[in-house]
Amino acid sequence: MRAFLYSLVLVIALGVGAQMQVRLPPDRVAGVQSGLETRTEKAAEELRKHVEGNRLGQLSSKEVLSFYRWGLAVRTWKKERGAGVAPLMAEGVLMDCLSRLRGLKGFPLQPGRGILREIAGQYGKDAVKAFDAALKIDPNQMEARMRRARLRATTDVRALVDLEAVANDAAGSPLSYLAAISRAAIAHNNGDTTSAIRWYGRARALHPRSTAAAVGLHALTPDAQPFEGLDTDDLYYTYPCTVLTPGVQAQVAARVKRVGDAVPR
Amino acid sequence: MRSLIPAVLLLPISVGLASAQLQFKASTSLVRLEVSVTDDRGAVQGLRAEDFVVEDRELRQTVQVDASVDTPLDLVLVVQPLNAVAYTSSEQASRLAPGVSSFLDHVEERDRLGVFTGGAPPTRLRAFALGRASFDLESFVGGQYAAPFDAMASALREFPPSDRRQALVAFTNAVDFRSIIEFDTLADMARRLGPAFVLVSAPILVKDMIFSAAEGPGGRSMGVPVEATVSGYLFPRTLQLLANRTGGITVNLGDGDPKVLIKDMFTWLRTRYVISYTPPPGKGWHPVSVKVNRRGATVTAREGYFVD
Repeated sequence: MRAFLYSLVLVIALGVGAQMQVRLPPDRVAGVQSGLETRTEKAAEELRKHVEGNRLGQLSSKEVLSFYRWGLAVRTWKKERGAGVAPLMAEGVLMDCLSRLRGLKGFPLQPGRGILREIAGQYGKDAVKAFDAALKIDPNQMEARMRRARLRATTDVRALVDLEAVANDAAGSPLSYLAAISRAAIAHNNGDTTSAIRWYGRARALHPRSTAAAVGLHALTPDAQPFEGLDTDDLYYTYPCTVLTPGVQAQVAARVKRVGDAVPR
Repeated sequence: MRSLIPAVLLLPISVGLASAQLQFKASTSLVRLEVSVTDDRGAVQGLRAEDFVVEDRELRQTVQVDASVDTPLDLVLVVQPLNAVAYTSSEQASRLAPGVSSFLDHVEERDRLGVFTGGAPPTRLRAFALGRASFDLESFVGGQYAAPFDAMASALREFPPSDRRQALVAFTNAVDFRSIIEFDTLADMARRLGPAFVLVSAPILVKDMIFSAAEGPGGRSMGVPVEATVSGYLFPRTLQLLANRTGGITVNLGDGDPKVLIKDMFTWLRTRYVISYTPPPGKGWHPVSVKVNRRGATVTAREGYFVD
């Protein structure tokens, strides 16, 4: 497989309908052309290495279109007077969703994103920005707080503390469960077994049929957790690309549909 | 069978798994490696202890060797939902489907089998039990999102202590947006636990292009634009890593008839040498090397094992 990639690493197609438009001495023209080819070859080699190490697939054109429409709907929505927090939540969740698509090639929603970068790495920061903006308008927006904390918690201690605060929220909403299970996952994947077990325990206290907590504990503790009776719709696995704040997802769907009706297929 | 890479397996049979981190205990008295030796004609049989050179932490070991052919198997099957595979590659999904069917056809009554789907969330379709399983492909269609790493992590805990050959067989494209267990954590678990990973997948087609042009003053183009294309078929690298780490193999369903490839996979699984030795002292990572004195023979060994 690798040999095949190597063998096809670079196809330089010269003379693709271009014409000289600047008068230069022939030796300078040759120098420009040579430099262009060298840079392209280096970029192709860089791309090859990146693809070989990271690429797992590509979004279908249907999925790309649906994300594109979501992005268009949000852009229009944000311009509406008095739109409030809702479009920012829609934008943040869209970016949060895209930030998970590791290893996939896709088409960027925003200009200035290089071809060498997969779509996932580009959108985590955008999601945080959107949730920051939402929290400026409504500091009590729990979903924005939970998602922002989860996105930043691997590198920011204050975010980790905030995630724990949401997880320990006495109201015990689904967002508390998601915060607890996310906190457990961070500890687990950092090798902090003690904390992971504690936070999986908190998640199970909030959602006794949690599949995610069972999977995590199953991996960490010798006593096997029974797989029977677990939640087959565990929110941890289904929430990433859905706005949980009541009413917002329905508005997203309606607005995306309107965009779809306006944009030719 | 070009896509099958022979491997060495380290079974946990004689190894304690008592700690919360699931590491091999220092009190381990015996290490058992499952070894496959192949050459151009297939499995190399008839080897004895003196034919093997086994090093643990670069120290030559005195080993016992038992050969077995047509051995019963302990298998846990993980299937990523085919709709989830199709979410990023319909071509991969169409190749995996017949592979899963062929796998189920090859399980025998003497084998033990557990079955998981790697959906989001993962589910256990069948607890570990003796005998064949009858599932149709509808059981593995599922939704568009998948958590195969969570399913594999769960499947690892299904294996009971046994002297049978043990393998976790996963049909997946390694695309995972949902698992609580990240790939690095799974890879760490894999080198601490016994079963070999047999990863069955299909390649993706890559075709990326770069277009370059030079601009002069006023944005005018200079020279002739240059276009570069990076293209080819790519098998998920992460799957190869898991296979190597556990002494397992990858099966690339893009290499030919799925029925033939799966049949060869079972032949590989059922033919083995078991190498036993007393491990050298020392905690931490024990790199392992296994060689044989047969020209042209290939031995693939588990990379090593951990002692707490």
